[in-house]
Amino acid sequence: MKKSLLIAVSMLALASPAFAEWQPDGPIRLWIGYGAGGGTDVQGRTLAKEIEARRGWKVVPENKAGEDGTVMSAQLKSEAPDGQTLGFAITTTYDFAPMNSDNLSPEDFTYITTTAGSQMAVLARADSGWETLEDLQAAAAGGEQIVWANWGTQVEAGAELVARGLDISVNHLRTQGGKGALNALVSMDANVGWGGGVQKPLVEAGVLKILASAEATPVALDPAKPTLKDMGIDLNLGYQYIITAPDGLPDEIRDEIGAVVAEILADPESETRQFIEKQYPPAPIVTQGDALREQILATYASNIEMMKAFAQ
Amino acid sequence: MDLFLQYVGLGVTSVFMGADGALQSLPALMVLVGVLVGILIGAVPGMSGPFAMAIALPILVSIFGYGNDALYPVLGCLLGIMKGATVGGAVPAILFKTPGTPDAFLTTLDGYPMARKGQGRKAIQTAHFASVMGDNFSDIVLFIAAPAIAVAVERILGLPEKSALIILSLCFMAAVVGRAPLKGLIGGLLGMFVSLVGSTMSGNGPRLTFGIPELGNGLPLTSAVLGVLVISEVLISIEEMHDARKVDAPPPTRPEMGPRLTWAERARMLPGILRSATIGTVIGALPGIGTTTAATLSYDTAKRRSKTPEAFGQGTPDGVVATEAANSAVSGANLIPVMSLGIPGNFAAVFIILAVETIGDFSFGPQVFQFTPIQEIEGFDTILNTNLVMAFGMFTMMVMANLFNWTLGGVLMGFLGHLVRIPKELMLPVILSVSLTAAYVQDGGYLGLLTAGAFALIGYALRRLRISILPFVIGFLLAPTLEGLVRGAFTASGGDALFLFKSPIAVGMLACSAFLLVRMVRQARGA
Amino acid sequence: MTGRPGETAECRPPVGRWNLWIGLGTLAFVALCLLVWFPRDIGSGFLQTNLTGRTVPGDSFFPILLVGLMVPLAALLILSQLGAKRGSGGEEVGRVTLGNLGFLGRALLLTAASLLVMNWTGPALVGLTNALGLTDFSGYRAASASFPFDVSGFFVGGTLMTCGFIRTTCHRLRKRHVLIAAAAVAVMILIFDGLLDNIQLPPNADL
Repeated sequence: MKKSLLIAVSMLALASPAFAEWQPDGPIRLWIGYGAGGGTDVQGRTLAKEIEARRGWKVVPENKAGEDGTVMSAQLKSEAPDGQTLGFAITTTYDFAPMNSDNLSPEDFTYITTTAGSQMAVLARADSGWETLEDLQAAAAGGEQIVWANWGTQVEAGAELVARGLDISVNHLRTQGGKGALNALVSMDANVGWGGGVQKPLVEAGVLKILASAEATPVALDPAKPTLKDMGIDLNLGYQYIITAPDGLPDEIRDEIGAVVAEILADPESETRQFIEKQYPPAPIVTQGDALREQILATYASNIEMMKAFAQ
Repeated sequence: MDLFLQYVGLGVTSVFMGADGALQSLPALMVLVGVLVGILIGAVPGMSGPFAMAIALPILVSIFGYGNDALYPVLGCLLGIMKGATVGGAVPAILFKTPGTPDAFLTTLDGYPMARKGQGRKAIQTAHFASVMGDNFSDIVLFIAAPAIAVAVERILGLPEKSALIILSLCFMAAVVGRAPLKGLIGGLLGMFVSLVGSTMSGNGPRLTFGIPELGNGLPLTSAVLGVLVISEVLISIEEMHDARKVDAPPPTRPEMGPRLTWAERARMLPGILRSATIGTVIGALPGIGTTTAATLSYDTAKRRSKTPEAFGQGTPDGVVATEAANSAVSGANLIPVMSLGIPGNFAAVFIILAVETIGDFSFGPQVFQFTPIQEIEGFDTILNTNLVMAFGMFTMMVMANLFNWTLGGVLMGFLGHLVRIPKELMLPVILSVSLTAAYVQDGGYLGLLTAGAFALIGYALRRLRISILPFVIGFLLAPTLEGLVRGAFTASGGDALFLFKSPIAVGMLACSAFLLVRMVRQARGA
Repeated sequence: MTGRPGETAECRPPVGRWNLWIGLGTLAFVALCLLVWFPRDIGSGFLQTNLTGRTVPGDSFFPILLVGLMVPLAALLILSQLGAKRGSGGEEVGRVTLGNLGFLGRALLLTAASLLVMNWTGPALVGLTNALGLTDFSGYRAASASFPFDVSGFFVGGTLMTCGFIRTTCHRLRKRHVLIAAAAVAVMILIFDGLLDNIQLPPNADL
């Protein structure tokens, strides 16, 4: 899987000069769906800088934070699809969030490329003594009150799915963003929590422990821990960082922008790639064009199914 | 203990060394810039430290960005301004009977008569000495108390108690600020209410936005605070100047400066300074009680305990010592609730908290003072509590600001009397343009600018209707935290409607709030 | 920035029953929120049933709590005004006069006009240079990252606004004042546009 991705990336990189036709008419605005200073912001800004360096296009990053990129997307969808207004968010913004929104639909956007992926994991404090989900299950069965920190409807639903899978009862604590969930864990307001990647320093410091991976594969921080699928819970909460544009973006512009990004991410010297390797290990994830669109629509459909299951 | 010293060491060196280990002078330089700006701003009547901090914050963030490296330069400059302003305000108060900052008002009582008696130099040096001593004293208390309180609080307080604590702080603030506590509390609730515009925590899409997608992430914080605090004040001053008939005041004459302050005189002041600084520190640690209260209380105490109470008001150095040591001691102590609880108690603290929360991955609160064991992992990084390093780095910069205040402050204060009066009627329009531009640049374009404008109108109305602004601002800042805590406490309790009343500590705090409320009502009835 | 002691202690003439109006206004606001605004503009109710069938606070939980708390406070404010003698201690009374509103209106008008000028100068300049054959932009958007078009609007509009307010404070506008205003705006351009990257001066972040 990873190898084929890398091959695809390098092929795109080789093929890219053939596309170098499109030139933007003035500056490109890259709307980052998260606040300034966070990991997404840094990634978006370094990427903007490197696109500028490679193509000579002027790329101006702007932060439009809020609700995991949906605030930015709600504004993006009514912009002109000329490749000069782009959005940078995560796949959840498009394959889950539209479900709860009157003014967003996955059909409103053109999906250009993904850049990196999450490291979703179930976390607990190290001093809880829990090593795996079984320990959590045993503690809950022993009468301990389980409070699970989350930051959104999707991950809360995921927590409930896990709880049902383990046949335990959980109280959910909604916090502000992924960092909020970690704070709740550390300050003992919760005893289990989700982490999408920000947990790295705390896990390495030995304050938090990973109980299981919620990705398709074990997480890089603790590869010994099983995935939820291994535990018999059919749940994948992993997400990717994604560049989008309003619906109706011509294919040649989409492919040209996608090609530049692929070129940058395939270059081991690139600052963006190095950032991704450190922050979202092990390597960039590049899915583009129609394949990406299919992925988003398929995940959206399956997410709707998951939520329907809850409604019953 | 070892770990403690290690963290102190890391904090101190982090100010002078960048992440890559290279020497850096930028934070130190920005502290210096801040102190200089603060002293100058403090000396300009009508401008105060928080005022300058409000305008400086968005500009500094534009310059240094939001990365982790940006925190020290920005924070250093803000701390410098905060401390410099406490020193600068005394000079025009002493020489011209026009206090540079509101808290220097009481310094005129004895400082100006001293200057009239030909002891201007002595008065200024007394103010400088007392001010910096008071400031240092309260910093030392901060360095000790903040970690101690934080560690205690983190052990004791859960979600319901934290909610109750915020409610209590707001009630207390409304009760002590201004002379209209009921309106203050309504203002505080209104401040909390407007901060709810925008995003929700439940993922059901934005709320209260009138369908404007740009509002989906809530109102931009810095612009809102800039509008309600600075722009509204500027508008009121502009209006007053517009309404006033043009009077060309004669340039104030500078009185004879007289002899210097001797070391023996300084030594004799120390007991007075200690007493006043203690008063200022205690007052400063409580949210909402400002420098003016501290100075008044300290002045009255000094007068009562003096052997020569009749000398007060006639130009005694003891009077200057009492006010300056107390009002300067507030500035360090008001960071105690900020650093240990994340609750700001006055405007200067608001900007310190805004800077720390918006820049990099730092935040204030009890978790700052967790002494995580320091481990080095091969080929990766050192693992530690970066917030704690940041806290000690901040303390280091405060000490640096104090050093600059000791040395440069004294020199500069001697020259401030020579400064040409900056014409306010030109300065205020420029400040207005700078503030609006800063809001636009920093906070998402017209959204930021319009927010600043709308909040300026709110601030204007609040000021005209004599509703104190502090509860509004603090409510605005703390509401998202409080909502998270209340919802969290409710949910984590499994949906118990009486979730706030299940813990004795929370009940105690709420009882205090209720008591304050009753007191406010009685006061409102003019009893 | 808290009020100076001298300011609050001074004797004020009786200024009517503004506190009464504030109380009544607060009650009206609460009613408006509860009856009109909240139902239309908040996605979920006071309590909601979450995915797991448990009852959790909805998005209007905290807003309703807040405006609910305003009711007793406003009532107390009204009662304290009805009961208390005028001019006696207790809650300080403020006021907003017609003169105040007039000033605010003028200030708003001035700001709005300056912003309009700010928005139009750039496109006008682009149109002009295009007509003169100096440039070949498809519009202001295409020129919004190149000097001097990107700062032209801010320079003209910003100077206009600063001058307008100087005129208000000084009651007249001298050549010196215009120069000071222009210099202040130029310094801002130098800092924000010259020294810093990725900073968008008005109106460039809203194209």
